[in-house]
Amino acid sequence: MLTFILRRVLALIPLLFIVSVIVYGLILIVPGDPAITLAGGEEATNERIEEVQKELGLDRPFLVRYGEWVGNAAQLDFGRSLYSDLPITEEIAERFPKTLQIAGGALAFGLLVGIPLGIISGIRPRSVSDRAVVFITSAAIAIPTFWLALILILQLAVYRNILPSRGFVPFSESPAQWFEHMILPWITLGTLTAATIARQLRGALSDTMGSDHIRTSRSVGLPPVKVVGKHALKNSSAPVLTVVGLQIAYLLGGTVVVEQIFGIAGLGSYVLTAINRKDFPAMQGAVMFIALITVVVNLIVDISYALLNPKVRVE
Amino acid sequence: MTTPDITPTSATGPLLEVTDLSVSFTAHKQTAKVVDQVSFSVQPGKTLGIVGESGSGKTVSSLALVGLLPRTANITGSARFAGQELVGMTTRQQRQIRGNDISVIFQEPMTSLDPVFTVGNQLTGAHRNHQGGSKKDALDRAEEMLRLVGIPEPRKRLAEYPHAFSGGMRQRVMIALALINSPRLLIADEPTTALDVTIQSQILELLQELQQAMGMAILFVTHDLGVVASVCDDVSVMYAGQVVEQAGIDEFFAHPRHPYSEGLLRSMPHSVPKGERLRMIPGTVPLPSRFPTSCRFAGRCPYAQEACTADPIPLEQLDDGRVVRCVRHRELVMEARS
Repeated sequence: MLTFILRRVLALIPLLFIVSVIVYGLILIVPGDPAITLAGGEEATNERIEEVQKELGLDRPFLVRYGEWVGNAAQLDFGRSLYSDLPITEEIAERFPKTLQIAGGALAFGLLVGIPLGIISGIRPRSVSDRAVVFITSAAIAIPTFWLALILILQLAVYRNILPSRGFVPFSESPAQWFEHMILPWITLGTLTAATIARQLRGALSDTMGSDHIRTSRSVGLPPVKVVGKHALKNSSAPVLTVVGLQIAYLLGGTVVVEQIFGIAGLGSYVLTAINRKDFPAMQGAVMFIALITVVVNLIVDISYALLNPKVRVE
Repeated sequence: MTTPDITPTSATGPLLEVTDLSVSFTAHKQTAKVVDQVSFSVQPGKTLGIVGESGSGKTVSSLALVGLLPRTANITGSARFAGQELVGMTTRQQRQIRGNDISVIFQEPMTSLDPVFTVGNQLTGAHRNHQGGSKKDALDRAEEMLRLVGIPEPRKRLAEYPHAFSGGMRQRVMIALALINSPRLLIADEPTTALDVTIQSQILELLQELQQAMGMAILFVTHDLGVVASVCDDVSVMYAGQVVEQAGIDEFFAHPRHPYSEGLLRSMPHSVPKGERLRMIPGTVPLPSRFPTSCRFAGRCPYAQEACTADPIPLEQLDDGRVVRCVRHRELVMEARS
C-alpha cells in the first residue's frame, strides 16, 4: 500500500511540470502586453513601455523567465502581483479559504443529495421513483449555473427575504450568518454535482443489483439494508468516486462564476480580476495553485480506489 | 386452505413437498408461464435431482421456493417445508428461512462471492445474520466451515478476498457460506457446471460427505445426468416447465419411461459404443410463449403420434410409485442404451 501511494506521488511530478509549462506559456497566446497597460495604455510612449518591460524582466528570453518562475513556484513562491505589489502566495492564502468553503460545502451538498437520489433510483431501475429521479437530474444538469443562481436569488433573497443575496461572513465572526450566506452559493454550485453523482450512482448500483454476488447476499438471508447499504454500495462506489474527483475540479473552477455572482472575494474572483488587469504573475500563480489542489485531490481519489477495491492494491 | 394439516412431521414425511407450483412472468402485457404445475418432494437427508435442458424451468422452480426470483414473478401453488408454507410468505419470513433452514449454492463460483469483502467478512455476516453472537464466535465458526470444506490454513484465508481463490476453492467457500447455519435443505443450482471435470468430482464428493456429516437434504438442479447418477437418490425430469417423469435413480437409469428421459440418457457420451455417433435430441426447448397445449415434447419426440398433439397430457402415477407424463408409456419399451 505504501509503495502504491509513493508511486502515485512520484507520477505527479511530470504531470505538474506539464501543467506549469502550459500555465506559464499562456502569456504567449494571450493578446495584450501588461507592460503597455502599466505604462499608461494607449497613450504610452515606446520608451516608457520598454522601461516597464525591463522592470518586469519581460525583455529576457522566455525560457529564462520560465526557469526562474518554476523554480520559485516549486517553493510556493509565485512572485508579486503587478498591481498590489503584494506577494501572490499571501494573497492566495487569504482568499483560498473562502473558495474552499464554497467548493467544500457544494461538494457536501452534492453528496448529501446525490447519494440518496442515486440509491432510490438505482435499486429499482425503471420504477416510478427512478423515472422521477432521472427527470429531475436531467433538468439539473441542463440548467446553467448563473441562471440557477439568479432564480435562487430572486426567489429566496429578493421576493421573500429568507436568505442574504450576496456577501461573506467569516465563520469565526458568526457561524449562523456564515451559514446563511453560504447556502445559496452551495446550492448553486452543488446542484450539478448532486445530479452527476446521482446519475453515476444510479448506473453503477443498477448494474451491481443484478450481479451474482448480490443474489448470494440475498440468498443468505441478509436484510435489504445490508444487501444495499453494505454490499451493493461498496461495489458501486468506484465510478462514483471517479466523478467526485472530476467534480472537485469543476467545483474549484465553478467558484469563479459563483464568487462573482454572490460577491465573495475568493480565489475565483481573484483569477478573474487578474485576467482583466493582465496581471500575469497573479493569474499564473492562482491557476497553478488550483491545478496543484486538483492534482492532490485526484491523488486522494486514486488512493481511495485502492482502499475500496482489493484488486487495485495487488497490482 | 381450511383442511387441517395432517402431514406427519415425523422423520418419515417429506422435508419439502411441492405441489402444483407454477411461476409466470409478465412483461410488455404478455404473460409467460415458465413453470407449470410442478410437483415433487424431497425426503430429509436425501437428494432429489431436477434434470432438464436450459429453458426447462428447473432453476426457476427451485429459486421460487426461497423468493430469489425477480419481483415480477407470479408464484402459485404450494411448497410445504417442514410444515411451513413457503408460497405466499412475506419477504421478512423468507429472509428468516433463507441461508438458515434453506440455503442455495449457484453455478458461477467466480462471480457469486462479493469481490470487495473478505471471505471471513462474508461468512461471519451470514452467520451473525441468523445466529447473532459475537464476532469472535462467528469467526471461529467461519474457520471451522472452511476447514470442513477442505480449505487449507482456514484462519489465514479468512482474511483474504475472493480473487485470491481459484474457481474450485471459491465454490468451496460458497458451500461453506451456504452451510454455515446448518440448513436442513440445500438447493444446489448447477454447482459444478462451471468447473473443470476433476474439480467437479471433488466438489460432488465434498457435497456428499457434508450431507452425511450434517444430514441435510439436497435439491440438486442440473442438466448433467452423470452428476445425477453419482449423487441423487431420486430424479425428477423437467421439460418446458413441466415435470415429465419422476423415479428412483436406479429404475430411472435402467428403464426410463418418458421419451425425453430416454433422449437425455442416450445423448450421454458413454451410452453409445466407442466410434459411433452420439445420439442427440433434435431441435430445442420451445419458448414459454410457444408451449403447445398438448404434449410439449411431441415436436421433438421420435415416438409422437396423432394422440400426442390433441389434448393436454396428464401426469400419471404408476403402480411402482413412478410418475410419467406420456400417452404411450405403456406400449413403449425404452432403454437407456441404444
